[in-house]
Amino acid sequence: MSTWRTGMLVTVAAAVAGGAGAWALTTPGVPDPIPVGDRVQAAVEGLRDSHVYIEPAVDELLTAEERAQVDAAAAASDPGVYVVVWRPSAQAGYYLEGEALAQIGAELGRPGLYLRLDANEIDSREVGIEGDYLSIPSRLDGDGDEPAASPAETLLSVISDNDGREYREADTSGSDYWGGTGGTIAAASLLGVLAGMGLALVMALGWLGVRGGGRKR
Amino acid sequence: MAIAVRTESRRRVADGCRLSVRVLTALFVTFAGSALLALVAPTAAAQEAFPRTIDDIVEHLRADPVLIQPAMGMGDTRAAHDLLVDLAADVDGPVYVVLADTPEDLAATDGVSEQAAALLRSELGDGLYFVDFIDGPRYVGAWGPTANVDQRVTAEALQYVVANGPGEYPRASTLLEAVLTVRAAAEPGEPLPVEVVDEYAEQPWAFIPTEHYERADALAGRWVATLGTGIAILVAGSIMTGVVHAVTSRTTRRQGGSGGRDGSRTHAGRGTGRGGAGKTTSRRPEADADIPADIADVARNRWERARRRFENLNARELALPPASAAEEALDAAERVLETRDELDAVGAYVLSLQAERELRRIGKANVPRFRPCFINPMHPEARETVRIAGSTIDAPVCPQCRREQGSFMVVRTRWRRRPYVETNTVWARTGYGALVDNLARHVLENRR
Ligand SMILES: [Zn+2]
Repeated sequence: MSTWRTGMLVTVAAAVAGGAGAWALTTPGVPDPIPVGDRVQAAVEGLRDSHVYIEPAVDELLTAEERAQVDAAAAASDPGVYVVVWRPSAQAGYYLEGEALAQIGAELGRPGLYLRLDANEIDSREVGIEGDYLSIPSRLDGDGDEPAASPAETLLSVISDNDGREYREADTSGSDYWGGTGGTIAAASLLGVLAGMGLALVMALGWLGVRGGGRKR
Repeated sequence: MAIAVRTESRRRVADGCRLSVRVLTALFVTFAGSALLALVAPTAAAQEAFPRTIDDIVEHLRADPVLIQPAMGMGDTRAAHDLLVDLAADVDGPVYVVLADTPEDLAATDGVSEQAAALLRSELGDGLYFVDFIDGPRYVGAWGPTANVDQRVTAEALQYVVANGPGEYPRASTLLEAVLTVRAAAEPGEPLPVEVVDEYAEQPWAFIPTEHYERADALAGRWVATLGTGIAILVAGSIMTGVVHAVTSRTTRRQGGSGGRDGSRTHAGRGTGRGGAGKTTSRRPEADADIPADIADVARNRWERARRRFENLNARELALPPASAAEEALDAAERVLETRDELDAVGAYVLSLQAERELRRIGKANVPRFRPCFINPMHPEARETVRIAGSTIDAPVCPQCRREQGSFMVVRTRWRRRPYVETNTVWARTGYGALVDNLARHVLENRR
């Protein structure tokens, strides 16, 4: 009985110590969160009472009429759509436009499809939802033969395609690489069990070897 | 070409750099937060911050030589503007910084920044011009009083900053380059002091930030490492515990199989002579269990020494209880000292030790009585009482037997070696005093 109790006590203590060690070793590799910059913050403020935010530098991209149209369509869409109109930049406190959209969605706290566009390109990001596949053109200037679409046309088309597609709310802030919370736990369990069995094999052989050698003497 | 929403989020960029935000971040973020409150409200000033054409930019620069738009402000446009204005004040000559959206009237041309600088100079005159638009590339030009500004100073500083930057592929921001350029212009011909460069490099706007998912992946990876390690050790430890348990219990069964009948005393002694008693496997040499050959001499020496000390007691000491206990032990020892029996000699030895201890106890109530090790009275004094393996007896044992219970002391008879506890003697019944409080009285009664 005491073999069991001692063994399990040592095991649990070692597991806790090992886990703490792994945590401490991997912590320096975790980048700090990227602070929300003023460009992103301005978009967040603009989207609080509208579904469209246009940076003043590019306010010629949508007419007032188009803007109202897009706003109404985005508000009526399910899942909801939020549109940011500005030119892409890596010098605004975030790296990729998709990252900016994720920050905007997180700050705003409203799940939905977030779009960024200018005269040439569209970026998109689902924040807080996981939806069915949605085909979105990456460029507005047309693929080869197709004529260039206007920003308003493009937006209305994407919003229309988006409306009514299947989706569910989901935490999109987690790691895709490890497959979210469930995937992370599953990966840890699988790796842990396999490594544990390997370790046990080595330990058992080692122990029996030492024991056998000791008994022969 | 079309892209799926879901795959977009996985888009990785090979040269993505990692931002390592240091202590200053907290301060900067706090500062940025308060600055933002002022920036957010749409005001007349905000309108002016988005000039569309070269003429708009010229107009802005006449009033304010630094133009930075949020698209180029690295997250805190106001702070960036103020820092550059401060640095420009130390330069001997006009300084113009433009970090903005590309002007509409130049958008389609090549070398926008250089063209813009030339156009601005024709309106504003000589000076240091740092111009960069969203579409780049940045252009630095110096004319007139600032013509001696050496751009190699900035280039060297940038090289140093990037070499020591965070992450795998650190990319300095245009803002950092502008700051270093204007700072270098304040002291033309001098290299930038390392501590100045280091301080700017530590600001959150110094490098293009990493992607969010790198942090999410790292956070998840940390959980995988932590849980995985813990689970691995749990699994390994459980399996090992099972293996150890299975192997030791099988060994015990094999060794215990040849043992004698059950019965509390004999049960306790089984396994003696081979391995250990009960489940504990003894690796101590079997010879340890034998009674020393010179036990009779040892016992006599002990007895004589104790006897001498007893005779030196004064009248007051003789009246105390330990003195009579010592006398009783010495008497009992004397009875068994000359019987030529090994077990009796051990008994005389133990009784002598007990007498010596009683003598030491005179006037010292905190000295404990002598208790032999039940396993072998020739062992050091018992310190603790434990369950004797393979039996229902609790008995005092020496520290070594507590850790690893050895074989019972063995007595050689004509035919075989027997554990002393299996003999029909006063010693087996009393465990040489391990099982009873007053060994001397038991011995005196037995050898009347
Ligand atoms: Zn002992």
